[in-house]
Amino acid sequence: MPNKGEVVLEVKDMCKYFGVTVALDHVNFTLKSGEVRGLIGENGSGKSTVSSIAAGMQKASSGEMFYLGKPWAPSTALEAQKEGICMIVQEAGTIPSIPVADNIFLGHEDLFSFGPFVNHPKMVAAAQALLDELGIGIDASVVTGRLDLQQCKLIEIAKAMYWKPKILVVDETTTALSQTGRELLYKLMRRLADEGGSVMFISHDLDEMMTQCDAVTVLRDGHIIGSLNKDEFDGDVMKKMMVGREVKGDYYRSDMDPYGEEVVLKADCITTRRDLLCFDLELHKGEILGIGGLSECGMHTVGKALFGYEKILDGRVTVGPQHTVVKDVETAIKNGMAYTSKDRDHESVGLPGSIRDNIASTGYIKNLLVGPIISFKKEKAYVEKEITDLSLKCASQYHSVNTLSGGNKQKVVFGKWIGGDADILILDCPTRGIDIGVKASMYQLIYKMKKEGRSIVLISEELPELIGMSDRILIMKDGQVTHEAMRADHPTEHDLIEYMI
Amino acid sequence: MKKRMLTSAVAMLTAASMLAACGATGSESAAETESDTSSAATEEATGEEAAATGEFEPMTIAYATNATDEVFATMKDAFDNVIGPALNIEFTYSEPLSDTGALTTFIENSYAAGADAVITNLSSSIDQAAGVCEDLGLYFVGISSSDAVENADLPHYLSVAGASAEGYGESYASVIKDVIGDDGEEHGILILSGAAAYGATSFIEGTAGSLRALEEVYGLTYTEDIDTLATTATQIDAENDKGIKITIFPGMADLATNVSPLLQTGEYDVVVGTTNIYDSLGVAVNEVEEALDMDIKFITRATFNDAISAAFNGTDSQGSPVIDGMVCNGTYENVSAVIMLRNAFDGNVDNMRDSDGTCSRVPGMIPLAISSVEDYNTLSSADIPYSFVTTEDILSLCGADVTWQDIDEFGASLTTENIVAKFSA
Amino acid sequence: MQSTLLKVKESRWTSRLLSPIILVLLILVFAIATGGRFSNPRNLKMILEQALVVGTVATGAVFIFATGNVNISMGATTALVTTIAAKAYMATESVPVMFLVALVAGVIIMGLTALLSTWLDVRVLYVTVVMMTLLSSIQMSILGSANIQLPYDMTSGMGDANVPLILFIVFFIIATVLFHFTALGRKLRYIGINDVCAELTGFKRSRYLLIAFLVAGVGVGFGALSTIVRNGTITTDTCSTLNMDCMLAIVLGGMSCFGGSRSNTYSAIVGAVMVTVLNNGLLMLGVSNTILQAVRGVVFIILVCASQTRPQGLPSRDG
Repeated sequence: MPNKGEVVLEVKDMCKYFGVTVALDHVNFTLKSGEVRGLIGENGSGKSTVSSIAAGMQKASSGEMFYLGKPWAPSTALEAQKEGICMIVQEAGTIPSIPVADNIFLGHEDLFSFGPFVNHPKMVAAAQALLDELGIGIDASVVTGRLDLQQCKLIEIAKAMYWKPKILVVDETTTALSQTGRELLYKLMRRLADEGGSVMFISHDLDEMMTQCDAVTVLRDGHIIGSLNKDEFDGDVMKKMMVGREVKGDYYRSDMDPYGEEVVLKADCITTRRDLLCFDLELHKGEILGIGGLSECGMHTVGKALFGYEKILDGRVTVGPQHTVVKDVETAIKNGMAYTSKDRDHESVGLPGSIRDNIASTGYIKNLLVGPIISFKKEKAYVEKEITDLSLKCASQYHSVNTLSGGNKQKVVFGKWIGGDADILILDCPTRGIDIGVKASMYQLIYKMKKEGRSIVLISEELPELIGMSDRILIMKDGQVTHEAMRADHPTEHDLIEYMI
Repeated sequence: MKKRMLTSAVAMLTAASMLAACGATGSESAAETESDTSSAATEEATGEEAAATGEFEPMTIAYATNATDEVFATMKDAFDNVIGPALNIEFTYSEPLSDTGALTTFIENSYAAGADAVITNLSSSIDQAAGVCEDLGLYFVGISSSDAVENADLPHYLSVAGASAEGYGESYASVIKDVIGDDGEEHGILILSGAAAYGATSFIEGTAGSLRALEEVYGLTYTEDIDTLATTATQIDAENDKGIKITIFPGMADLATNVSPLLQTGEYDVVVGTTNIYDSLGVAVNEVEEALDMDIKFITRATFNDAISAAFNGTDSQGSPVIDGMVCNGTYENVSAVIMLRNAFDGNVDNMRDSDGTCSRVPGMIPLAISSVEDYNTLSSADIPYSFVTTEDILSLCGADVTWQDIDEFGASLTTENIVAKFSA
Repeated sequence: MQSTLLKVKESRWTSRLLSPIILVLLILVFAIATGGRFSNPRNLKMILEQALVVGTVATGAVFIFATGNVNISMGATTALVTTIAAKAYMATESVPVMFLVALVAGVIIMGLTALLSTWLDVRVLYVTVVMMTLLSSIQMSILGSANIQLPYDMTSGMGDANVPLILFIVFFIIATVLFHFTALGRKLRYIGINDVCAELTGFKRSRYLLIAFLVAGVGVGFGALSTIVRNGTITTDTCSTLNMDCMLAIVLGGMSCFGGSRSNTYSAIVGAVMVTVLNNGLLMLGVSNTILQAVRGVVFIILVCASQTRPQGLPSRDG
């Protein structure tokens, strides 16, 4: 282990591009041994990108890295792991169909090889010893799929710790952990730092950051904004650095406006092939109904089922005053519904098409000249109006959506549905992967739509967003609503997380 | 309007300059060709040929082919290097064509490129092609084994040339008589009828001709009708009162696999193919001969090429020739087509067509029946002109008083016997 | 900024008009190189006539290709429809009956193909691979070993009356109106851009695929009639290269075989004429058949590259 205070990792002038999107813009960054370094920033600020490049999961577009004084350019995550940089990722990093021990030693089976064969009992024993040492109470021989999300995360931690890493990257892991799991992780992080290793810790939870980290580095839009030592920690300062301006109340909506009595959309004990079993929901006119939970809790299926895209096996979704049954997407759209998918690029927008192709797709009926003939002039004006209203940044409406940034792509999706006069919008993670400036305007837009009397189902994995925007929040777990919170009650993130895990 | 005039002016200018250039190179190359031909032909009648070339107006014939195989290549070579220069004809050729639409397109494009006459061997489309040629004012000869069905009265539709199917029957009969007729022994005979079952006439005639020849050789009578036997769709024994084993096996695909088991029974010592069976069965037959220590007589349809030459001249394990007899379709139809078009272009249209105002039918030469190595070697010799027709013969068939019957008769005289007599001297 | 904006706007048009411009240039080059022989009206009319069958069928195929689906049984379908219609004529000796039979058969076969694809939930490409073999074996069994030779009076009469040209123009106008001036074409294109997204915008894939195939079926019917008029003789080889010709025409015409934004009805005829112009012009220049294919291949590659390249900012299928 390097001496405490020595620089273990140095990132010099690193850039990373995804197509035209700049994820990292000439980033310089050093990590010392014996420290727990927090990385904070909004979504898409580049904190995950920089740490995953260091851990060999992707390659930088330009720039260089030095690890323990030597040039560092890992080609795979396995290579980085062997050299002592391990990462616990945001997404599920275990394979469900194989035993725990196999997951822990995935890619390193040669450690237990016996000629061309793998000595499996030996591997299980080694895994069990590791788990016991770390204080994780899991049987190494069970199939991983039978464990819950928290246990899977713990396995990933164990997998990383086996290599006695010199640098451990913990990326958004704590949201999946209960309090005891967190405590365990914190303990391991601290132990590693005390032994001379380093930890890069990424989390959205500022309180957690401030208690666990020795120093934090703030990123915004691919730039390093600055670093703070433990004695300089201040929540407001950090937020300001993250967002780039004074974060005032109106980042989310600040009002307490009520919503109507009338139920515009109702799910009546719906059951789908996966996730949902007799699920109920009522959406009122002018309401923003937030649905939160962990990614796998079934909330994304709710969105699809309400829109008629997921096959409903039992129960029904009704819309409007006539209680029309939503049996397919067409009925949903006819009754003024709109849906934006979490997987925007694949399901909500035609990337290779032009902005016009996309926005005009809901407005053919409105832009007719005579009979079924479409008026090109009306169509052009129709698209232009949405572009102006949403202040969509583009060269012209004939440009391909591909060339737009995530935020502007999302604006295209919004423009498509608003232009089509949708009254009920089901927004699944509408701000996913969107930079902070556009995010704010999205929130304003959602609020504006509420004021216009439209009803919105806001499905989100980000609790602050749900708390900030919703009139009412449903928290889901395993396809069931576990909690309902009203805006008037001012729920906190901490309260809601309890019901998610 | 101004633009258009400008464009046409530019076009004209370029055209003029190009034409000037073309003219220069054209006469140059013509001179070259002339001197080439004369120098090449110093051995024979130099003066006559050069003079003959001078007599003919330049003419272009478009040849629409259905395949660009070896046979085509040989023909193209003769057309471009011998017949073309002799008759002052330039030839253009199509890519391999398969349907009438493509044929029509080729004819139209050839017309646009300045062709005067068209030949096609795409036999399914000749009447249609004649119609297209009529519209464009091009003389036309179709190559097919069957007669014109339609459009025969169109003035530019000169003729249908091509050996008729009956010729195949005679040729097969002749080869079979030569190969097995004189030994007085009993044989087991396997006839591969090829596509006869699908109604292909040359195959039917070949099979029927073979059966008739056997009838004569052995003086036997079949219990079933010969045509029924020839068009069988399944393997069948041609039962007869003399009890000679004669089996007919139809089909073209995968002969090696399908026929080998039959040969291995050892019951057959004569194999007759109405298609080229040497390529597919030669090896299998040789294996059976070695294994069963017997001699199998091999009769196939083929064209002159190195492989067949080797097979004719070589001996099998039993010391007899690998191929004992062969039937070779003639190529005179191509030559006769060119001659008829030359005559028509020179104003002798009426004599090229039938006197009743329809197109003529020139069956030309019947397929050659070859049953001895000597004959084969004479016929396939490198010195022999294309289709056994010398330049003098061709020139003698061009002229104002020549009729299509003359051309046809000349073709009919091209039998193995005559050719051998003519060229072995 | 202003200038880049202008440039981009301009390049949108250049990318759309590139293929027609290439075609015009090609004609000009040949006209000059042949000293005007190429551009005489009779020759130009002949070139257009040669392109009509491919142009008609490919114009219909545009509807299918626009949805991002590749249909490789267009040729086999046309061949079968041609055979059925010719049989119908031989049986009834009535031209109207032949027209009706061709249209109905074209629409039914194409409709069935679309339904098979949606019922079995198999991609159009795979269904049409099977259909191609199936249809040609049906055609073969109808034809047997015989060819159908239609009366020359009928075919030449219809040819003289410009029936193929009239059929093409009628179909082209219908197709262009449907494709560019009504919601149908836009929906088909949107399905080609992103089918999941189109489904979530309420454009039911199965329904629109069926409509696209039905329109293409009309094209096949018309194309079959033109084939009858032009060929006169129907054999098992009839239309054997039609499918590849159609795809080539569409690509040369500047449209992607994978549909999407840049789908156009004019691509089909522009591409088809380009092919016939090339054949005719090269032959006129005296390019011999042995190297004609090679020359044409090289020119095609250049043309495809030229007509498929476009500024990055403009729509494409795979971005």
